[in-house]
Amino acid sequence: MNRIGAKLTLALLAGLLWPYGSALAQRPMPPVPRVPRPAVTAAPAVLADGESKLATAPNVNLKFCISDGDLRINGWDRNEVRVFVRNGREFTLKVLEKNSAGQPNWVWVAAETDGPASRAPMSECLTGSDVEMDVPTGATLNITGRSTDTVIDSVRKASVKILEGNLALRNVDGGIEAAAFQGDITVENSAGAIMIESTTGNLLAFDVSPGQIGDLFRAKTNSGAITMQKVAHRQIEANSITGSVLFDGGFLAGGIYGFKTSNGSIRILIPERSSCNVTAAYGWGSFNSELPMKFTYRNETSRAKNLAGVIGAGESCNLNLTTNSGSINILRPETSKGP
Amino acid sequence: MKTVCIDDGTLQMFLDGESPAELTDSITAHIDACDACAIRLAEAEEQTAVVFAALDRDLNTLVPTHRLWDRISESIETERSHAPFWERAYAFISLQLLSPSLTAAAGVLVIAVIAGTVFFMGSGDNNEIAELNVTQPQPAPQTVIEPRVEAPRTVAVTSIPDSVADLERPAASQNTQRPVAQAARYAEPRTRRAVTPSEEPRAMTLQYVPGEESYIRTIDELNASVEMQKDRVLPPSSRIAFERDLAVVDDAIGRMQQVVRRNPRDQAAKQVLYSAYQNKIDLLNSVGQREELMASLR
Repeated sequence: MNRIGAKLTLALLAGLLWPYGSALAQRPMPPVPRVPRPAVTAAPAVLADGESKLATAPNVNLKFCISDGDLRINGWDRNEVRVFVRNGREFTLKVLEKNSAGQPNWVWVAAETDGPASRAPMSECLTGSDVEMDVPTGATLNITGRSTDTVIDSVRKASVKILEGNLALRNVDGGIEAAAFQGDITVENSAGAIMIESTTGNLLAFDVSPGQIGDLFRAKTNSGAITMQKVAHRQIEANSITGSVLFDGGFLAGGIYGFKTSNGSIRILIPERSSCNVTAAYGWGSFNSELPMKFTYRNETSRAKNLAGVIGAGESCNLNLTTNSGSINILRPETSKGP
Repeated sequence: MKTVCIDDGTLQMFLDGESPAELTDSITAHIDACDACAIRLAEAEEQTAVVFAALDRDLNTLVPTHRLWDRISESIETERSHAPFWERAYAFISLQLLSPSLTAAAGVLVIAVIAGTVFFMGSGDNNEIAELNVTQPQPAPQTVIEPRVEAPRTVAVTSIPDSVADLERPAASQNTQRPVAQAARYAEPRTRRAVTPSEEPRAMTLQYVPGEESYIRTIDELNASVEMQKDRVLPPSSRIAFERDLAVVDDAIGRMQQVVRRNPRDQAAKQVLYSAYQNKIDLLNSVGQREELMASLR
């Protein structure tokens, strides 16, 4: 009996220990310490002045990225692209596509990647203390950048995205799409669909107009101010969270204008003979109009105040104003001028 | 001419509705003319009413028919077939134990099993048993029994570090005669509430104004990604601006939500609220766009 009991006990113990043994068997092997690999360090790039030219189509599309340096792009009346880099990395003009006449119409300006600097970060991006480009006035630019102050003048169309730095665009008549996450954007004397956006910078648009009917002007910033002077688009959207919005100009017949802030003020300077339907919602903010305004609806009893009214005949345009705690002021231009 | 009065049997037959039609007509005509029979009929009606009232309960009781008995038998069979095995076994044993001889045999069998168990347990080393039971405190199981809501008190058996266990059982370490089976703590039921259907997140759609829920869902998704990105993507200055703008927008959303909750028809509040939601989405999107641009520049 004792033997039977002992056997039973052994069997029971074996059953109990079986899962533990299985777990030990399945336990992963201890990690083998890694032998540190030698870090791949980029060889120091050779910085020098460089210049390159390329005959292109008049409507050439030029794309490149730039890591740092001041960038200046000017349009000229030649069907040629010229790039000059001061104290920077070597670069080349790569033709990506040609038109039916055999002229390059898509060109990529890229830093040399064959040399020892090919493993450096942003190795394909131009770098230098100054980068200057002359491009045909009909050129279209497609630019990305990290830290650069950029000035673009007299080109057909521009699409620019930079992380840091200010951006100025002038005489761009085919449309602008620009974003500077940390920097100001200025658009002057340009036309076409315009979309400018910044995270912390200010936006200024002066003397801009649509290229064709239906072109949109959109300006958006999180904490910067938006200033629009002589913006002749019929559809304008401006939105700032903590910044202010200033519109100085005239409303066009059939225009749709929407200005929004969360914490900033909205100031609209329009001629006295303007004609527009106005709707405004201002939560904890205020509304003031120096221009005669006929209210069709006004509710100031609620926490979220709103109104609807007409300036002038009213059938000309629609103005929609929204702010949470900012003020809305519709002013005569001469009133806003300081002493 | 005075007709002969109706006898009691005929009158009772009339009352019970068992008289033929011709007789019923003649009885009715006679009662119209004979006051004595009318009085007797009224008395008979009263007596009948009293008697039927007393017998009403018994008369309305259903008499079981064969069909009813068949249905009862079917139900019993069905119940029997669905009865668990243990119930059937118990019923069988109970039936068998009605016999005295079988009861005696079962008693002998039980005694034999008990004696065998005692014999097996007694055949081992008594010292080992004493050691196992007295001097070796068994380690506490590595389990935590979650208190159930239904139980008023719960025994939580937890693993306790040696030092803590020593502190908690000084008597066990000093007096080895006292067996310590396991370290157990009696804990009050945790205050964790059971999740009942009524306590599940409320159907917030009832509180949202139209379109608000999609904004909130989008913001939640963006928030999740921004939380992972912002430390890596935003430099300190941008981070400060971002947090400030986010606080402004959140404040606007919170204030306008209160207004909208109070008056869901407030169009102005809804417009400002939607604008604030959109601002927040744009703000959160800007982090992702920045990350995207940085990735493209690498």
